[in-house]
Amino acid sequence: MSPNPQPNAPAPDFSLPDGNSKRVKLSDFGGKNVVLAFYPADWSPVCTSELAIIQETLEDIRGLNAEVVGVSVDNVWSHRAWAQQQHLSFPLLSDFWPHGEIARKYGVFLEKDGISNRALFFIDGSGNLRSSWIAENPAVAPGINIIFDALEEIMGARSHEARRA
Amino acid sequence: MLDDRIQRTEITDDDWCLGERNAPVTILEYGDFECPHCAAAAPALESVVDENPEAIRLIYRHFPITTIHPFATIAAEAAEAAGAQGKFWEMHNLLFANQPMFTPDNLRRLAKSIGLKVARFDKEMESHVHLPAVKEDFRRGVLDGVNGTPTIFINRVRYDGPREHDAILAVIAALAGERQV
Repeated sequence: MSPNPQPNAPAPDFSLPDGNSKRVKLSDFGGKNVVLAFYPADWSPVCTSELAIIQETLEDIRGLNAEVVGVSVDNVWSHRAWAQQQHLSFPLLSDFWPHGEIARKYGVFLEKDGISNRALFFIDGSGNLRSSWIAENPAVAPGINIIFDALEEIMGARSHEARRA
Repeated sequence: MLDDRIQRTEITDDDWCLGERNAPVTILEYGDFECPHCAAAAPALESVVDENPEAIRLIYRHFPITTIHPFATIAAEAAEAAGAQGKFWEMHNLLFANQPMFTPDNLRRLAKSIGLKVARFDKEMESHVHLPAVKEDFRRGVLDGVNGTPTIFINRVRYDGPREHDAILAVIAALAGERQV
């Protein structure tokens, strides 16, 4: 497995199709914080509840100047059908081909299983990786507080910097 | 360091409690009445408390995931409305036994079946007087780091193991062992 990217350095870029086959790049979110949520598979029970809870709290997450982007190795058609069935309104990106390339760049591709591990990467509005959470066990989803804690840390640090400026 | 294993919120007197309020072991559950995994876990959680009511208490908080469970919030409100008439746990059990079509008519039928004053129940449901309590539970669930439903904490530590009677008791027994050391 590739090493995980280091905090406080530019996050690895990506350009992947979403469920509508529209290309989404990290730089599209310039100025906003990005929650990059890698997960093993559409339709699986743990992913279903993890992303449903993200959807349920999405307005509060956006209140922290952030957008959520899901990434898995599923193809765009699977993403489209799953997002519709689960009422997910944030983009799900398809890391299908080259298979798992972006998961590899972030050091979370599970070679043995051919899927991504469950992981969260928090990228600030300047495109720098600030913190991450990587599952010890892909069957266990992150507590939703992880997303809020990481974003509040980014926002808190930013307002602190602004005060000093 | 990002951590999601520890319950941050305090248990309060407003929380729904099964077992003795001052029991030394607290199981906190964040649940959704439309969630099949919560329904499956309910008998095990209830039985560990029923067998040890002085030692173990169960606290139930609402965590309705409405995007996939459209009736979860209204069902949580119904449980609160039953609680206002002293029958929270009766309604809690009935909801888990009667998933998932919690239309207003079905909820009224359940309310009637446990002897609630239906006029009061209807009034409270129509004006959503219990919605703030449901939302407050959800907010606390976000702080505590819910990672699915049910999310269970045993003495403030998240428990991701099997939601089965023996497995839960084994964790509690291990905690009791640590305390005696």
